Amino acid sequence: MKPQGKGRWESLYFDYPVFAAPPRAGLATSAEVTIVGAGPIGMIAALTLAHHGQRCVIVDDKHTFNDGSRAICVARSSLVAMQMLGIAAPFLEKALPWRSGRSFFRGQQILEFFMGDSAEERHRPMYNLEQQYIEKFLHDAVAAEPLIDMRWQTACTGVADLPDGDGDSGGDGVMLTLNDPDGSYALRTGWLLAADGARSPIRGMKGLRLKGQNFEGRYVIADIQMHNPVPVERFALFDPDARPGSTVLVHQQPDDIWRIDYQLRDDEDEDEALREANIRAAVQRVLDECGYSAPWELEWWSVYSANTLLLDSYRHGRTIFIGDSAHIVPIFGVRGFNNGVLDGVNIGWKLAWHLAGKADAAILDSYDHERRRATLDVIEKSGKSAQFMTPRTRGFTIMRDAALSLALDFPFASQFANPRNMTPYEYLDSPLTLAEAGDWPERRDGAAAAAHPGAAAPDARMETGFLIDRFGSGFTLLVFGESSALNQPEAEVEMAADDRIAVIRLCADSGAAHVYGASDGDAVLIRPDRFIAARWHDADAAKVIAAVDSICAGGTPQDNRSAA
Amino acid sequence: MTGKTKDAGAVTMEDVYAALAEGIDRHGPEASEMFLAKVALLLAEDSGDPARALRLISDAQRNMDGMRNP
Repeated sequence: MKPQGKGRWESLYFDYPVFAAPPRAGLATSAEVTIVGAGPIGMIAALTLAHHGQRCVIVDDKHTFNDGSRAICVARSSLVAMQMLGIAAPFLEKALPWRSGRSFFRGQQILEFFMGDSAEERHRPMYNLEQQYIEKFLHDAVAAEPLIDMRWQTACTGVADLPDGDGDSGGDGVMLTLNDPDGSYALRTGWLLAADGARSPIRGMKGLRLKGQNFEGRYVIADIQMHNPVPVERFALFDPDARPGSTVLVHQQPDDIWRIDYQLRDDEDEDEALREANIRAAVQRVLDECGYSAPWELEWWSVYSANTLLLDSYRHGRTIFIGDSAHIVPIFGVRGFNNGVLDGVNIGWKLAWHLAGKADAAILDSYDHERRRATLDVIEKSGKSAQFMTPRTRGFTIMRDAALSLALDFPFASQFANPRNMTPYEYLDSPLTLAEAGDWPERRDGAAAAAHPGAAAPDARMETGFLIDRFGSGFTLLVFGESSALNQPEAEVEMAADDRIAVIRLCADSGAAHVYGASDGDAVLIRPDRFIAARWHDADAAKVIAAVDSICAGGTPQDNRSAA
Repeated sequence: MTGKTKDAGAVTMEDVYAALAEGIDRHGPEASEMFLAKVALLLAEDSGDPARALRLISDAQRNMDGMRNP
């Protein structure tokens, strides 16, 4: 909602562009891949496809960016994805990095938390950036990418699976009905990525429903503009004088924008709470409690429920759901946008590799396997956070307040209030993750990021730049030290002949070896989406190539797997 | 109750029992649950053995039929 007298697209800090529908003449009426929804996740998927050389059409019924969905926290894992796509620069220039937060109980500080960070990492654990800028920076890249056919003001109003011609379970593709200001037309697509958001019309047209818990508390979310130069961190206020019995979150964003989230108690009327005068009064009380006295202007407000919902399956034949169309999670832990990014990156390389003839269609099922489990993990973690931030029963409320009260004197009790922010889900039981042989040390530097198969590949500082910059767009093989069979001339020739795999040779005493827990002779295989697929003490060319072949065939069911 | 220490000044389980009772009285029906919850969390943390704490919580669930706050 907007203050009285302000139009929907009037903002204190962002100029919404107006995008026209493309001229109908010359518009392709078939596409190998079509993405419906040009939100952040749809655009990430499109850019990932293009990164792997795959064309796509992307349609969106709006004429500009989202004004309703307002993610603000961009996790390190999302910056790593932007870096892979070559588009991190504008994000890093505009966003506000942060790594710590403080929680208060009835006005007294009970916790200061720090998110994992180290000199090996290029990016900070978290950045705050308004979703409009996230979309603008992604769209700048989309508009500059010749492999992406972006069609604004184009709604998808019909989906029909084409008959099964080749026996593949998904049929031959999907016939879409598209509507733009000139009327409707048909677009035949081989694959459909539904990135059309939490209310996904495609989900409805397919007769699918999200399942899960529908209600875990209501929050009002308000953005204000206030010049208040203080260090960037996250505040959580439990049971503050400003709103007794409620929880309040405060985040700073670029352009002097501040996000205030405050919980509505069960006895509060939503319509009444959302009246502008009540929003202004509630925000003022929070600012007073924070000791912020600068003048401010109201930008926008809304209300949300902390739902945990997901689809039973993310792949339905040739239609694949990504982002909020597939899952809705509570905001605690900032896992909605950031997990959506990993959805887009995950399906992007798999679909591109399949369409390029480099991977079987079976690899697409691993998208559902990996990303649905990631959502279930998010739901478990953010459910715990939600139960602390917004206790749903008398018992949980009493325990929460008991812990907060103890936390004034005992640090252990403050850890219940630690938000355990987004770290990428590890694909430990994925069919694409190969079992490892032999013993491997825990990371010696004690950093949070793991380096075992299934985990996101950690970065390492090199003499110049960072390790991840040297990764290929396909698979990357890290070879440590001199004694690996992969350093024999025949193996070097064999590896060089396989254009799916880029080989990086590293010293056994390098910082990278330290980060990966690797010794002389070890090798680590990394997927195109920068997750670790396998590692060996005794790799040779045949083992590595067999591993890549297996992944490209859709992998091995965990149960049937033997040590590689 | 252990009763194994008789030395003057040594703290006994009777003292713990009385301190809990007095705490419940002091905080009354409004806050005694909160008080006991804090005690339970502190004891569990102090034991350094969350699994043991869970077993003891389960033990405390026994024979609750018909139990009411007075």
